[in-house]
Amino acid sequence: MKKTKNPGIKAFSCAVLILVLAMSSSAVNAKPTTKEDIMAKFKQDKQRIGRTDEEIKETMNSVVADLKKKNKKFTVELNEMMKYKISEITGTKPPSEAELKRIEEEKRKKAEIERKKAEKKKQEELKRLEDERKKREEDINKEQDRKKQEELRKQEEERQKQEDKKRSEEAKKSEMLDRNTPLEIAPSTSLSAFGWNGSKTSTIVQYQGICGSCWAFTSAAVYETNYLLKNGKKLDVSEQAILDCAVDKSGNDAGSCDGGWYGGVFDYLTVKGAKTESEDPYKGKSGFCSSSSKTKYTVIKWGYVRRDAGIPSVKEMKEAIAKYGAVAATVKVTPAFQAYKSGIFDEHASVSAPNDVNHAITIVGWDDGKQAYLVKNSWGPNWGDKGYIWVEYGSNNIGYGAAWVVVAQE
Amino acid sequence: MLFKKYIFAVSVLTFLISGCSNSPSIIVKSGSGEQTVTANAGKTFSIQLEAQLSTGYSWKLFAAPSSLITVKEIVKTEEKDKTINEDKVGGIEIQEFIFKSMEKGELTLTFKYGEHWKKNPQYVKTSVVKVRIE
Repeated sequence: MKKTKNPGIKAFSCAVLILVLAMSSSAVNAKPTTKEDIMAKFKQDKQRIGRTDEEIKETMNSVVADLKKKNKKFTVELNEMMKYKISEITGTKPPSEAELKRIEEEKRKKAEIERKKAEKKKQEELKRLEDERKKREEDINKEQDRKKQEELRKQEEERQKQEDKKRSEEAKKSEMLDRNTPLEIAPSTSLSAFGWNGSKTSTIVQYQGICGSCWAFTSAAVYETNYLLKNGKKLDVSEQAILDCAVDKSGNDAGSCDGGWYGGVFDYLTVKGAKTESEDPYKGKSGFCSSSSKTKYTVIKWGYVRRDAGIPSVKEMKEAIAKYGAVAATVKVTPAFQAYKSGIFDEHASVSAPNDVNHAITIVGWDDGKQAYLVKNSWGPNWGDKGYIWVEYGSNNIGYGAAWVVVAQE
Repeated sequence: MLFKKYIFAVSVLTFLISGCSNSPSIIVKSGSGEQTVTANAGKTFSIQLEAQLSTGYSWKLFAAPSSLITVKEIVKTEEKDKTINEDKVGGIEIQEFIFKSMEKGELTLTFKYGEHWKKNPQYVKTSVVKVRIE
């Protein structure tokens, strides 16, 4: 290690010192400073604050020893700065007690301000959060109120709807007490042709056999068709039960295999109701009434299309078909009628009076083009046109005793 | 006017005389077996059979000689009271056949009762009537 004194640095340091002193002197005294003044001041200061050569040497040795001890790689040498204590070179000096107190106080104040600021900020944040919470709560309450209002409105609407529906159903029910065909499927009488003979508006054609029970078959067919139109359900009414049990309102037999009248059957069905085919299957001959317990398949009311049971006009017949469905009626059957296969039956046989009829049938439609009624017979589906016949208006007293029936609603 | 009344009276009388001059109707009830009736040649005669046409069944003439002319076939429904409650359908009525034969002799008429509209009807009753034409 080499101990050297660098004259350049020494000179530079002196110059700087002189410059600083000069400046400070001029600033304080504000009077001109000479070179001699500066140099004297420098010398004075140098003697006052500088280390002695011994001290420098000692310091240098201490530094070198320390470097060696610490195995450092860099080299050091003596220079001008070694004359000064570190605090003198750097200008650092430990603060005074008062300064420390002041700094401490400042720090405390600053901390206090910061704490207050933080506290304030925290309070503000809390307030903001509280406001937000309140707002949210308010929004939620508003939303809940809105939902509640909406719910109440919906409930009211639903209640109104239910009431309307109930009223409509009651009106419909009331209306249906007087008719069989719901208004939505009832035809207009202005239609040139119409028939309740579709797959969804008719029941099968029955076969009465050799027993003169056409009156029972007609009443059953009328009930079945109208029940289907009103309730949308197919029903097979027992003709045997009608044959064996039916009595009119006076208590007289409605008929037997030697003939009868469907008016008595409708009286009976009003009180007792119809049995089903499965309960009492058809035997083709009269028997004893097995049971006369009341059933749900009752007649609400019935009547003749014409008050006197006479032959109705075509218009009256159409109105009855449109409103009630199938209509019970009669016709005069002849061998020609029996032989009918297709087309329009227009025999116009000789008759003694409008009530010169011998057979009960079911009128289910009309066709003004054909000028005929569509008639459902009870001689099975192999007779006529799949069990049906078109009978010209006015032919063979067709329509005498035409009667409508209002059936029970499920 | 007087002439018109005269013509009307003559017509009624002629009708009555001609009616009376016809042979009487023969009522053949079912199950009454073979019956023999007498009729006049050139005059009409009728045979009445009980039937229930509302069942789809009826009488039909089978096996008649060619000399026999079928004048008319009528279904006579029994007279009803005009009140509604007395209405009745499906009962027994009379199926009347009116014939006329110009030739004298004996004829056999066979009637069968069944559903003639069926392809192969089953006949449930048969009536045979012998008619002597004088």
